[in-house]
Amino acid sequence: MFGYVKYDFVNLRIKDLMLYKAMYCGLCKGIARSCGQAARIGLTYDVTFLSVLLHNITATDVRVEKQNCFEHRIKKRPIAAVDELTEELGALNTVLVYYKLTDDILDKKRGRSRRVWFKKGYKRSKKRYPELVQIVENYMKEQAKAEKAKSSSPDMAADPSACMMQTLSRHFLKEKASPSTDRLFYALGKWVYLIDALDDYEKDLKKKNYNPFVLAYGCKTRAELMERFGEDVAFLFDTTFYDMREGMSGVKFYFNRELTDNVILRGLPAETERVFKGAPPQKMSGKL
Amino acid sequence: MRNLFENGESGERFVEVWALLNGDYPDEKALDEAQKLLDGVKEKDAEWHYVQAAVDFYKRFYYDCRKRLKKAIRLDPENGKYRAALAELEETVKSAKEAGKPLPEGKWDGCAEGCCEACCESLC
Repeated sequence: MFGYVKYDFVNLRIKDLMLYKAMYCGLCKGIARSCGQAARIGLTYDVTFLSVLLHNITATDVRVEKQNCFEHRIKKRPIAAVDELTEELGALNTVLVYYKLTDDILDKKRGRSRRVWFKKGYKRSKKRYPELVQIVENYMKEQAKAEKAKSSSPDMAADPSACMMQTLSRHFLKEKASPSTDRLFYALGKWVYLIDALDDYEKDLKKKNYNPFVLAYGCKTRAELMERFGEDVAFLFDTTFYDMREGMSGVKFYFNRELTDNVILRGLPAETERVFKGAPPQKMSGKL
Repeated sequence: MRNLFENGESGERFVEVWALLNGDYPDEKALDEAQKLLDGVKEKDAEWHYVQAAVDFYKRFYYDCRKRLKKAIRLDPENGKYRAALAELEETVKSAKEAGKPLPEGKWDGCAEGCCEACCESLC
C-alpha cells in the first residue's frame, strides 16, 4: 500500500529535489509533534507527496529552514518548518500505517509487534483529530467489506480506497475542494490500491488472499497476466492517469507545480511500467 | 472526456434510468437509484449492457464501462451507437496516455524552446 508514489529522478530539477527532501524531513518532524517519536519510523513517500500537493492547493507557504534532526545531529539540513497542516498529515501517516498493520494482523497473522510502535500515536491522533481518524476508519471498513464480497472488478475493488482519498482531500482542502480536486484525489487513491494489488499478484495468489486481478483473469503468474491481458490492464491504469490529468487541469495551484507534475505525470507512470515488467522496487535516487 | 452518454436514450424501457443520468452530472444518490433500477431488469440484453455502461461511466468505472460496451457489441454487432461509444472511450484514454508518457531517459524537456541551445552556445 505504501511506497509507490515516487518522483521521476531523471526529469526532476534540483530545486524540486531540495523541496521534496525538505518536505520529507518536515513531515517526519510533523509526525513527532502530533504522534510522538516512535511513530516516525512509519514515514512514507505517499504522505510526503500528499503534503507537497496539499500545501500547494491550500496556498500554505512552505518555510524551509536549516535544522538538525534525530538522524542528522551534526550537520544541519534544510527542513520544511512544521505547520498545522504538516502536523495533521503526520497524524494521517500514523493512522494509515496503524490500519495497514492491523489489516496485516487480521490477514496474515503478523505485524503485531510492529504495530506497538504506532499505538500511542494512533491514540493521540484519535484524540486530536477525531474527524480525520473517523474518515480513515469508515473507509477501511468499506474496503474490508468490498474485499469480502470478492468482486472481480478492479474498479469496484478500488472504489473505497479511492473514495477515502477523495474524502480526505475535502477534509484538508475545505473551501478549496472542487469537482476537479475530487477527481484528482479519487484517481490517486484508486491508482495506489490498484498498483499494490498488481504488485502483490503472485503473493496473493499463493496465500489465497483477495486480489481483483486474480479473480478477473485467473492467470498463474503476473507475467502470464501481462502477456495475455496486458492491454486490458494497461487500459485500466490509463483511465486513472486520464482522470488525474483532467482533475489537475481544473485545480488552482498557488505555487510552483513542477514537483507535483513530475510525480503525477512521470513518477506514477514510471512506477506502473516497473510493476508491469515485474522489476524489483528501486530506491528513489537523490538520497533523502 | 466528452460525455459519451450525453442525452442518452433507449426508448421507453430505460426512460427512468436516463432521466437520472441526463442533465447535470449525476450525483451519488442518482447513480445508486439508477443502479437499483437496472438491477431490477430481468432481460439483460445489449441495450441493458449499454445503459449499465453509462452508469459505470458516471461512477468513473471506465474499465467496467468498456467491458459492458464490448458485451453490448457482442450481443448486437450491428449497433453503431455501441461501437461509437467504445471507440470514443478508448481513443480519449489513449490520447491522455500519449500526452502523459514519460520521456525516454536522458531527454530533457524542462526548458523553454531553444533555451538549451542558447545556454550551450553561451557556454562554448
